[in-house]
Amino acid sequence: MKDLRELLPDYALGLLEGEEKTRLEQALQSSAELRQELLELQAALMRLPESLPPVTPPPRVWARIQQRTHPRRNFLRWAAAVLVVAALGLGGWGVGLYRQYQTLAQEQATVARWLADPEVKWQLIKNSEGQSFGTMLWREEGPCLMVLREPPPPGRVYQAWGRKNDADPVSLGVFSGRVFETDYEGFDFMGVSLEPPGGSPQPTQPLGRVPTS
Amino acid sequence: MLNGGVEPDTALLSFLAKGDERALEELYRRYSPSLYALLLRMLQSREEAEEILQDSFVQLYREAARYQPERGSVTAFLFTIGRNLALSRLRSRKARPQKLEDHDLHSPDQELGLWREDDPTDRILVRRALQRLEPSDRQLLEEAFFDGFSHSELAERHQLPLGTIKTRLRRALLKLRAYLGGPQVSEEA
Repeated sequence: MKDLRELLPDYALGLLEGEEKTRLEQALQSSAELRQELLELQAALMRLPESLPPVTPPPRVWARIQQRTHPRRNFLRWAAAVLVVAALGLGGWGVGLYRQYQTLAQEQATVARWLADPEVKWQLIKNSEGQSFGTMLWREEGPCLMVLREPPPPGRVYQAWGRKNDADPVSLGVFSGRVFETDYEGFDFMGVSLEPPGGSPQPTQPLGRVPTS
Repeated sequence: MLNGGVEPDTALLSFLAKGDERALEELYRRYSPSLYALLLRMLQSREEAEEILQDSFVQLYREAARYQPERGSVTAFLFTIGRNLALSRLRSRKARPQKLEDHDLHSPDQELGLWREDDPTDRILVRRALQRLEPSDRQLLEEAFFDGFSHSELAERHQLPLGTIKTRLRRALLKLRAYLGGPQVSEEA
């Protein structure tokens, strides 16, 4: 037993290996006296850190410990964030749908008002291949309404143009719906082009035009 | 339940074993500065000391239910976890670390832990106990404990026979225990 007791300091320091370590660990299982002495030596050793001035660790260490010890709470926070984003997305989608509905209703009301006028004339707006993609309604005194079959593709807008013979086209405005009210007076042709948001100084992708007379 | 930060460590570990995260926070508040100082001393690297400090408290959290008060104090339990992790890190390195420069007191990351309920009495007591050891014994003990040097490494560093190293280390630890209030030991030990 005395022989084994002499091994206890090395064991407490973690310096015991091999057959000596195995022998001591077996003895520790059966000897309360050895275990008690080992505890006392370990207790003395583990007071050595007290000889050092304490140093406060940076706050990020505790934050990382929390992340690692409470992943479920972190997951719940993450899930809550996803739900909030989803709710905002759904809300945004709902708002978007409502705005689309409002735009459609306004367009229908405008078209209905024009069609209710017996003086209104109309003609098809065709592309260079002769295919129609919309209609222009007009009145003799100058006002007109462009009605296109489809809204512009995402990221693009329609731009309306008026043009005199042998002159550059003049921008009459951009629109992202299917209906555009303007005035053809003073122009020989009315046209429509596809443009980037905000429009362009000159038509970059002309779709087609109609003569005004 | 926590009660104003006056619970003994053993009660905190008992709460922790039941999943009370505030107990872990309180233990971290009490002992992270001392453990961080130990890890800085052992690893000589702030980055690695932070990493092992994290690992130590995560292990404490996971093994809280394994703690038995009759087998030692909570600090001994925690510091043993931290020291063992640091020793593994030291032994996985190819070369011993260079000594870290003294802590920069002006760095917010290296603020001394004076804000906590730091009781210098314990520090003075342990330092006095260390000072009572033979200087060469004290150096061997500190190199074995803080630097993780093995018997053979110490024998090579100090150009002493292996048996002498073992004898001096045992003597140093037995005396330290006695000076810190444990059983008396003869000066010849």
